[in-house]
Amino acid sequence: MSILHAEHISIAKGGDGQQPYIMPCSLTLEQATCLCLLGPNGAGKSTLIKGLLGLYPLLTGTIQIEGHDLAERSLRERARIMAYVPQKSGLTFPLLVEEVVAQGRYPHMAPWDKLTTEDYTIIENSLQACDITNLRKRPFTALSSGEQQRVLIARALTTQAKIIILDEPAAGLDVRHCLGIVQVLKRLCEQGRTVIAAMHDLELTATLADSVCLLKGGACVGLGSATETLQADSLSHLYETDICRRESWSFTENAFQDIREQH
Amino acid sequence: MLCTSRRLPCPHMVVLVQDTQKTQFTQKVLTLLPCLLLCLAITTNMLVGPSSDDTTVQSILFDLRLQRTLAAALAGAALASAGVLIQGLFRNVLASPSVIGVTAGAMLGGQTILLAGLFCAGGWLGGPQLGLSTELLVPLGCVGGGLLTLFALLSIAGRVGTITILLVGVMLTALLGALGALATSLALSGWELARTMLAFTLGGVDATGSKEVQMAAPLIVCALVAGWVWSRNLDIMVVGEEEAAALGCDIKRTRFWCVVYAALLCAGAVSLAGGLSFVGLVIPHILRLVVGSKHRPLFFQSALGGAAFVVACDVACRSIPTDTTLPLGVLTALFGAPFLIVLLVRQHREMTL
Repeated sequence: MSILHAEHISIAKGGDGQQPYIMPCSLTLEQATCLCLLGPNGAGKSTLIKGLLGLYPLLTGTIQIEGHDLAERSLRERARIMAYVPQKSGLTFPLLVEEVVAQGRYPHMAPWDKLTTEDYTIIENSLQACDITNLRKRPFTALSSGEQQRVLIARALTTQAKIIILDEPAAGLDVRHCLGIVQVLKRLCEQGRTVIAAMHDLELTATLADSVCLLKGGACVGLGSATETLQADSLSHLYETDICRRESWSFTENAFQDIREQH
Repeated sequence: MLCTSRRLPCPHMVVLVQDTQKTQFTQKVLTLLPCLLLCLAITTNMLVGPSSDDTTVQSILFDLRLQRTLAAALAGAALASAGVLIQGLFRNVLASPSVIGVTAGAMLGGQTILLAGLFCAGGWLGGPQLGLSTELLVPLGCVGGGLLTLFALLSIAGRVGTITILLVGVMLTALLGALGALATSLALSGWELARTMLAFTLGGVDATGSKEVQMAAPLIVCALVAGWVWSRNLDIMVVGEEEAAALGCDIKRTRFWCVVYAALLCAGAVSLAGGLSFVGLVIPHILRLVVGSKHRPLFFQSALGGAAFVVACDVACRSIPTDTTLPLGVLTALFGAPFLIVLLVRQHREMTL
């Protein structure tokens, strides 16, 4: 059974909007795979992500997680199934990194619960998985954007959600940090989590994605495996720019090895 | 299985647990600090002032002091903890309970009742006939005014975002403040009334009697307990509304209840002590530097710290020798503002070092 199946969903942007921003589209995702959303700015990548998370209302269609309708689940139950990593956190209070990561336990806790030893183990594992154990006592607001992104991913891991949904995780990061994030995401897929990420960088997408969804003007114009969809003609059509694949400055497979050794 | 469990990051986990125990220990020490300060302030407030050899007179003096101490403590606790709720909700450490307009509404309610006394001289809105005295009508007016403002705020801004609530609150504060100024200027026609009105506006617990305390105490205590329960959600709300919703936090309910409890706390505080400025802004701000940003401990500490601060200001009020009584509201701002400035400058210096 597929882990996520979205049937004919259309999504309105914002709270009360009735006009669909995402035209009806269908998605199916297998466990332990990575789906990347590609498309120009304003194509509806973020809207689709928020629709999948249940933050924006569905106008039509249903979303099923492991065969169960998502609409029947409470907010807390949803948060235990799907975790959201925003492009930039709205956090302005100087919470410590480990406090931010501990927020991921919130959907598991009753109003009177305190963090247990088990919770601390989970938090610890997430910190390690994102290589941020050394940052734990730093205030979140004092970190660089690459480090903040890792903290947000660690928080998503702490929810123990099977599906992790990221909005442009590599936006504004340098090559090395981009690779670091991609490496973390690849590792998550290997461990059996399902990843959905909105992306801009084609090279990173090719490295990361198992399947790709091309979005343009709120409509899904292409959906398939990475090799099928990442073709010069379909991408040129998507971005309305001539795009071709050629040898250029880029990272190699060895780059991953280097990063792994440095950690 | 054994192998995997050995590979669990036990050393780190132990470090984290130890850390937590350490912070818990510091936390406990710090918890005692506002508590001790509160005890100290209360004791001082009970002892400062004239004394008498006559035990009956002495017990009456004690009784009067106990009432004003209780009033000051409750008002301080209410304002400071309302400040925690409002600052967390609006994700702004410089927000204060007065920005949602409820303080101004409660003030106007009290002022209106005082003013109505002028036009229905001797009648007090039929109060005596109903068995209600002036000292009960003014606090009722405060709570009524506060709740009406809250109702207006929620019906105008209830279905929209947090920022709009803030803007509507600021506008309501301006509007109600203007009406309050109008009420004060109308009150100038009578000397006695003008004095009462001014004392109420400046804030103080001189005129607060046992009935007012008995009425406001249950309201404030209930709102304190409920606010403490809801304040954990604010730990999640500080990341922004969409992220908080994705983490499973019901933002609409949290927003609604936090505003309601903050408003009840404000209205209760105004009904006890009139306009006390700066307590709701300064106390949470200072304690955040000491306790950290977690809202439940911060809420609890702020309630204690706020109570200690206002009682201490009342002590100062009564012990500084002047010809007239010093208004409590003036002292809270006089002590609070410079203290906050010093803290902010020090914090800035530490951050740049």
